[in-house]
Amino acid sequence: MTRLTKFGAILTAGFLLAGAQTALAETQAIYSDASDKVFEVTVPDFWTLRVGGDRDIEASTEEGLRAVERVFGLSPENGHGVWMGLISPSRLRTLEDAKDYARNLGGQLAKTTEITGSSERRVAGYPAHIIEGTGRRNGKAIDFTVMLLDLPNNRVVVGLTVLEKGYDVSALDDVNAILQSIKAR
Amino acid sequence: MSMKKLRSFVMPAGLIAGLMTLAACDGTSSGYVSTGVYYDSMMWNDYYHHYPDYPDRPDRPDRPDRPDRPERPVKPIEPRPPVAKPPVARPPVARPRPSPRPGRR
Repeated sequence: MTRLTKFGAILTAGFLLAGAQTALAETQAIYSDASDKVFEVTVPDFWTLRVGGDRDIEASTEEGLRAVERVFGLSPENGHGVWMGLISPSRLRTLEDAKDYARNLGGQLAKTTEITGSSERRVAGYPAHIIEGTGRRNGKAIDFTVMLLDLPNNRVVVGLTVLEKGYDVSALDDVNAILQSIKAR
Repeated sequence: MSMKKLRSFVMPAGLIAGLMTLAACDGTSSGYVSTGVYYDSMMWNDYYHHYPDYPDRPDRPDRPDRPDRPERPVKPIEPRPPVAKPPVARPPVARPRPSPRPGRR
């Protein structure tokens, strides 16, 4: 079994089992944008949440000022090589739109990425599209998973999980618990 | 404390405080991995993504004017039964007694 297949299998098993894990988690955070509360997510103990915020970014004079949505960044305090990001752009309305968004995300993540698989399933009770891939960032091999979650409030959550080579496998339970804890608001 | 001694104390203290502040800003490192690059990747992806142009929702049509309220109909006069009046009492007309017929008693 290759490393990626093993990761996919663990993640899949986690999707099935994480419902029980969620009850152990402690802290809930609400992702909101300028006008709406979009979804809530449970942050496990000993994880760090970077809440960010809506902002306007100017990359260059040609590009001008553009609005960038809030990004939730999560990582275990003691785990190695595990990072999760959650974003819900208000301009993404359908799962189809989000698939294009996810493909671009792979390109931003690393210079060379390879999509190794995709699947449809339900996560946290909502329809989800999962894209798995590999790449290299800062000289390190990474596995990544992009999860697109179709919420009933006309919003899509894009969840990115990055696992660097040599990551702490014990953090995967928490990763799955986080994804399964997402609830639309 | 002389000014020279005070300055020699304040400058290293300020330098240390500055370094601590910068270290506190780098709150995105987890173990040996700097996760800030992934955070930035998500932000830049959102920045560069061309969202589909949804057609603007058409304006809501104006509410039609409320039709004029019809005039209230005039209430018809209720028919009433004729009032039964007693005949006017008149005194009897005094008439001369008829004269008796001849040959009759």
